[in-house]
Amino acid sequence: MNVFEMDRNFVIAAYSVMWVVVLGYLVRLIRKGSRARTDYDGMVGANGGEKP
Amino acid sequence: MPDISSDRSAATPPPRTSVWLGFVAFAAVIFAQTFSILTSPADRDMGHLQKIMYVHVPAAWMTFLAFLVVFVYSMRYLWKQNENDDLLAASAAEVGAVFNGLTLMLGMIWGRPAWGVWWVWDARLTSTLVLFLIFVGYLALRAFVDDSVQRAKWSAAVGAIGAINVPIVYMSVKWWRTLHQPQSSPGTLDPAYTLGLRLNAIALLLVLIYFIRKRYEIARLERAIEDFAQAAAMGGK
Amino acid sequence: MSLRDDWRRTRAIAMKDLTTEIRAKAGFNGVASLAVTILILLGLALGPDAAALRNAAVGAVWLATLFSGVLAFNRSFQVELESGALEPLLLYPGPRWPIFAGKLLGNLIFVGLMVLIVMLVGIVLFGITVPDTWPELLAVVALGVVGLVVLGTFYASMSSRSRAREVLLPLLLFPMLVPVLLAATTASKALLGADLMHEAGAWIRLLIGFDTLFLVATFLAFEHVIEA
Repeated sequence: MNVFEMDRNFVIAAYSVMWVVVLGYLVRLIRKGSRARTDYDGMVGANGGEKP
Repeated sequence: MPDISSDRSAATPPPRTSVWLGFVAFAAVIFAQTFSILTSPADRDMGHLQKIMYVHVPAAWMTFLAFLVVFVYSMRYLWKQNENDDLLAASAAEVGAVFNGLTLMLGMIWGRPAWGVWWVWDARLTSTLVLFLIFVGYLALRAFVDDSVQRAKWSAAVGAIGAINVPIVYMSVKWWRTLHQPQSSPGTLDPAYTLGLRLNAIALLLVLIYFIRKRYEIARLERAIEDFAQAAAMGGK
Repeated sequence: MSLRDDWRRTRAIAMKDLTTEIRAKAGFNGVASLAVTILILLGLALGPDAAALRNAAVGAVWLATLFSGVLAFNRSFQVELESGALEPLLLYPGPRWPIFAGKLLGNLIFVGLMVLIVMLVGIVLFGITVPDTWPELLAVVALGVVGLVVLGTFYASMSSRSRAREVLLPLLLFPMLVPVLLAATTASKALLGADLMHEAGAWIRLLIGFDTLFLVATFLAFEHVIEA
């Protein structure tokens, strides 16, 4: 394996890490967000739309 | 301890983050990365490695931007005592920590082939690492304090004081290094490289904004749920 | 309320804390013993080569100080919390900063004495020859201790009232102390040698700046932090 091929592997590694981190965090946010939204809507509904 | 500020957060319903902002942000990242990888010539010294900079450098910028938001909103909270400012600062801190971790990982992936080592105790690297630790402490404080007013005031103080320290840490590490060996200078910049860097920075900025808004929405929702639960417990008695 | 009254309150709180410490010496003895133990363990881990030990001495002394000093700060607020004394203290009229100043003064004396012991043990164990520049060396140590105690006392006022205070305080405090650690160790090393490059002066200025900045910042922030 020559130097350039090795370099390319590092570049691929860098971009992969970037996408794994960013997409991982995105998935976490979306899941957490939809759970929180469901809970919130449920509580607003139970209170007949009234705020505490 | 009576929680007076919760009235204020309940006054306006939690905001909704537009899905489109997310789509646009991620489309921009894909576009910017494709564009910069295709157009940038292989660097004279660094070859293909230089392409790592398109994600590493903007990620570092976004880290500092996120922590600037933490500082500004922490100060604003201490000034105006509006709980939403605290929630926004906390959201920016979490997103900033994600970008900070990413910056460090990408820096190491760059350092291994370019310098032959995963880590050097250079001023920028070390102060970025210390910054990460400061905000890990900030997030830990929030996790370990239950009372919402205490949590807000304390983390605002920690956030503001932590941010003040960042330039001092940078300066001290720089002196610590430069008194013993000369600082490595960055290579010359190709104009094509600068354009790619800017595009990637703008794309990542959109992602940053989307993340912070989304995280803020969740924080507001969770806070409102807490208030509901508290009100229900009070009414039950 | 005049500044004289504030100073009287500061002194009263510091005296109260120190009296408590003197009556029950167990606290200070425990913390100081721990510091010496850490120093000995570091010596064992880094030794037995005499030259290597001499090189590592400064770092070892500062790390031992940091790791054991962190225990002192939580203590100073924990005593108040356990006896429920903090709330009545806050009910007194007038500004709250004398509470912080008092705690600061008490901790300063506590940690200062501890550092003296740690340094003496370090000089003996690591085979350090005391240089002619020892007054400067003492100044560096004093400035470093002030930085440590200011931030330590401030963060302890929060962490001592949280869950998991044992973990939280070092987690918050140690990253903040990076400039102090670098400045104090580098300046001390330079002074123990001949300081040929005249580095120590710049580091001393950095320490003075750091201490002043965070003294002001923590005094301003304490008012918000303590009443929550």
